[in-house]
Amino acid sequence: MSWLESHTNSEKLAMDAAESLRRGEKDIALRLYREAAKFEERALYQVDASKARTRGITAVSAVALWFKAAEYALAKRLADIMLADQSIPDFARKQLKDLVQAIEAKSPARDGYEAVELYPFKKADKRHLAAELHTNAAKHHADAAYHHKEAAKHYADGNYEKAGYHAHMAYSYHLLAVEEMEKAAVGMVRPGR
Amino acid sequence: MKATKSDRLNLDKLHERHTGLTPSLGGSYTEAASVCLDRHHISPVEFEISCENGLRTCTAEFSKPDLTTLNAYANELDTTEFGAYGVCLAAVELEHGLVAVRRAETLTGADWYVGPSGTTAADLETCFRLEVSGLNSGTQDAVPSRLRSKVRQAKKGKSNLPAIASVVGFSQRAIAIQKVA
Repeated sequence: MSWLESHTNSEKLAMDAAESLRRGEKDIALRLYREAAKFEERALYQVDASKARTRGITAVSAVALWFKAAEYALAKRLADIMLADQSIPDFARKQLKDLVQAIEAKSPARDGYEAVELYPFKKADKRHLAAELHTNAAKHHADAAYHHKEAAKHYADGNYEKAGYHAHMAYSYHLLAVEEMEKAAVGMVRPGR
Repeated sequence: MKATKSDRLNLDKLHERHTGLTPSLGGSYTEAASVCLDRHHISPVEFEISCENGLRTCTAEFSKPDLTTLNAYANELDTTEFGAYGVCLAAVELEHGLVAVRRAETLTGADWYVGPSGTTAADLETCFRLEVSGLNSGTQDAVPSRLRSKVRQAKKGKSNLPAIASVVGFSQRAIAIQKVA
C-alpha cells in the first residue's frame, strides 16, 4: 500500500468517524478512529525523512487519531517515539506534548486500581466485564501474532521499512493486551469479589 | 467596484480544484455555504474580501437550498462551520491561488493545509495551515474582531507553523484573510 493510499484511507475513515460522533454513534466512531489511526501511522512510516514538517504534521495526526479512538497506550507509545526523534519540528513537538498531557489525563492509573474498584459492580457484572477483557486481550494477542509474522517475513525479504512498521504494530498490540490482562487480573474485576 | 469575471468567488465543484477535498466533502461545504447565505441573501451576493493586498469585491452565486437540504443542515453551528470552510477555501483560492491539499487531525479537531495548485498531500513543506471561522450574524466589526482572535490563536497554538487565518461573516457579506508567520 502506497503512502497516498494509506493517508487517503485514514482521512476518509477519520471524517466518517467525526460524522458518526455528530450522530451520537460513539462505538462506531471509536472503531473508525482506530482504523484511521492504523492507516495514518502506516503513512507516517512512509513519509520521506527529509520532509520534516510533513512528518511532524503526520505524527501529530496519527497520535491524535489513536487518542480519539481511546487507544491511550498506543497514542502514548507513538507520541514517545516521535518525541524522541530529534528531527521532529518544534510545532509538532509542542502538539505532541499537549497530546501526551491529554492522554495522561484520560488513561486509567496503571499503579492502582482503587478508582475502578469503587465502581459498584455486582458479581455478575464483574464476571461479564472480566470475560470481555479476556476476550479483548485474546484479540490483541492474535493481532500481535499476525504483525510478528509479517515483520519476520519482511525482515527475511530485506524489506526493512515494512518490517519496522509491523514490528511497531506487534509491540502496540502487546501493550494493549497487557493492559486488558492487568485490568482483568489485578482484582478490580475479579469474579466473586 | 463591479466584479469582473476573475472576481468570482467560485463555490461550485470545489473538489475539482482543491485536490484534498473529496467530491462528497466539497459538495457538503458548497451546500452548507448555500444554506448560510440563503439565511440572509439571494443569489448572486457581493462579498468584500480584506487581506494584506487590500480590499476586493467579488460575487458568489449559490443555489437556493430546497427543503431536504435545509433539513439536512438544520444544525446552525455545524452548518456555519462547514459553510465557512467552503467560502474561506474559495476566498483563499481567489486571493492567494492556494487550494486545500490535506486534512490532518489534532487534539481538538482537524486542520486543513493549503498550498499552490499541484502540491501533493505527501509534501506539506511549503503549505499553510488554514484557520477558519464563520459568523452567521453580527455587526460589521465582528469579522475583523474574530480575525484578530483567530490570528492570536494561530500564533499561540502552533508556534512556528505558517498559517492563514480566515473569517467569513455570512450576514455581513465580508471575508477577512491574514497570513500568520
